[in-house]
Amino acid sequence: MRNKSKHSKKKITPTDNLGFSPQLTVTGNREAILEGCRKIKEYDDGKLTFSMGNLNVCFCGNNLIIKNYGEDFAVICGEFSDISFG
Amino acid sequence: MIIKILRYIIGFVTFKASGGFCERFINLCENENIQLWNIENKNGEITASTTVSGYKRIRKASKNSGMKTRILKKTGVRFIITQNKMRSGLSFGAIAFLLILITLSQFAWRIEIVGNTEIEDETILSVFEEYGVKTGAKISDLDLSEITESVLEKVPDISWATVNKKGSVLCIEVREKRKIPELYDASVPTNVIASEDGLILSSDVLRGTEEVKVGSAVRKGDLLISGIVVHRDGTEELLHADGYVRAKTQDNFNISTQNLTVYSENSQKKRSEIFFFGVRVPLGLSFDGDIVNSSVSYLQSGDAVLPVGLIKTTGYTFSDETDAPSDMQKLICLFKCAEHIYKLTDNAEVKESKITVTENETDYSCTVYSTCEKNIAELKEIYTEKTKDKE
Repeated sequence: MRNKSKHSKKKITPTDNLGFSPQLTVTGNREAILEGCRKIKEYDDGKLTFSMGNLNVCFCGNNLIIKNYGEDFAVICGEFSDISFG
Repeated sequence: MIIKILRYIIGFVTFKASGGFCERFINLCENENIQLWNIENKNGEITASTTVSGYKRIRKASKNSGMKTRILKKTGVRFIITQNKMRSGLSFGAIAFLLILITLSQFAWRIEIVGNTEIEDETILSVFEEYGVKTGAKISDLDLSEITESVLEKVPDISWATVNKKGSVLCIEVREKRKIPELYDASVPTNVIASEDGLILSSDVLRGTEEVKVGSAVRKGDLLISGIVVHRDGTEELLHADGYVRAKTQDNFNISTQNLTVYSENSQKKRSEIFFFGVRVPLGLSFDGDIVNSSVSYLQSGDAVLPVGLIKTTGYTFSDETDAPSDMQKLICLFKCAEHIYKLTDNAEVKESKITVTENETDYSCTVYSTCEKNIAELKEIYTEKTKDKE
């Protein structure tokens, strides 16, 4: 049987422990702060998708930069054209 | 901003990773507690920044995600030090700069005084200087609250004072005492007399009996308003008479070169001193003079005045002038006349002024005839003697 790597273990974020929902703060169409994110699902030139447990948040736009990426938060900058949830 | 400064001090690496799964790479870095920032993806290649220790541990994440990493730029103080390891002078210079900066910031560079209107800056500064508050003083050695208390005791005209530290500037803030108007004792009986000769223009009696009519001429000392009031039943009462009596007066002022001592400049000596943090370094021998004039020019950087400057002292010695009246003496005579007219305006309305000049070989004389309108009322106490009533 194949051993699961420790990276594939489900990450428990502080928001899980406290029972809060993930939070998303958007300033204009230039900056967004994501709290409670678990991992990056997709990242290419015009698309950036974060997994937030049961929810996926997808940013579409130009010059998407992850300004900061921490244990359960991310600061995303760029010119957002669309933010979708799935 | 603070984080940026800390990162710069600690040092960080900007790198490029390409050829694999960038999402997986970022997630693995996060799991390994490798801090990444400014992550940018362009055509499958990511550019990001991380700490030096983080970059050393990044190999595992790059291997598992199939990415190849390459350093683009090393930024931070530690890299600057490493690059300039052989240049010891630079390090010494930086350390010396820091030491000088720390040392100089402990001293007062400038003293500012705010809040005074009547008391001159020099007066306040001289009192504070006695207690050590001066340019070049070590700020930590000064017990500012104790000093302000001592100053308040010494200068009675100041009601409140404090010394604020603004970096290397000591700001002395003062509040002056409000002068209490002189209160007259209304129980003291007084008359109002004329303070000088004049022609009465108007009379406004506040208390007492009016003794002169408008249009009458009075001599100095004449009674204007009497403090003795006679009632209908014949009884007399002593009052504190008061009033405002406006009169037309004549003022004459004479000045002559014979009673004016003018000195001519005999010699002039100059000396410069370097002023550095309150310490004066003379650049010449000391000298005495009848009048010693000093001017200080401080070094300035924008609005900030530095406690470094040059003091230029000029000493003048004079000899007595005994010859015929010089142009300077004549000018001084005229100036004194103008000054006298200006002083008259303090308490009178000067209607007309005429200056007459008489000049001969030995003398030059100026006389000012001024017509003024002013209040000539002057209080004069009525001296009374208390006697015991006979039973």
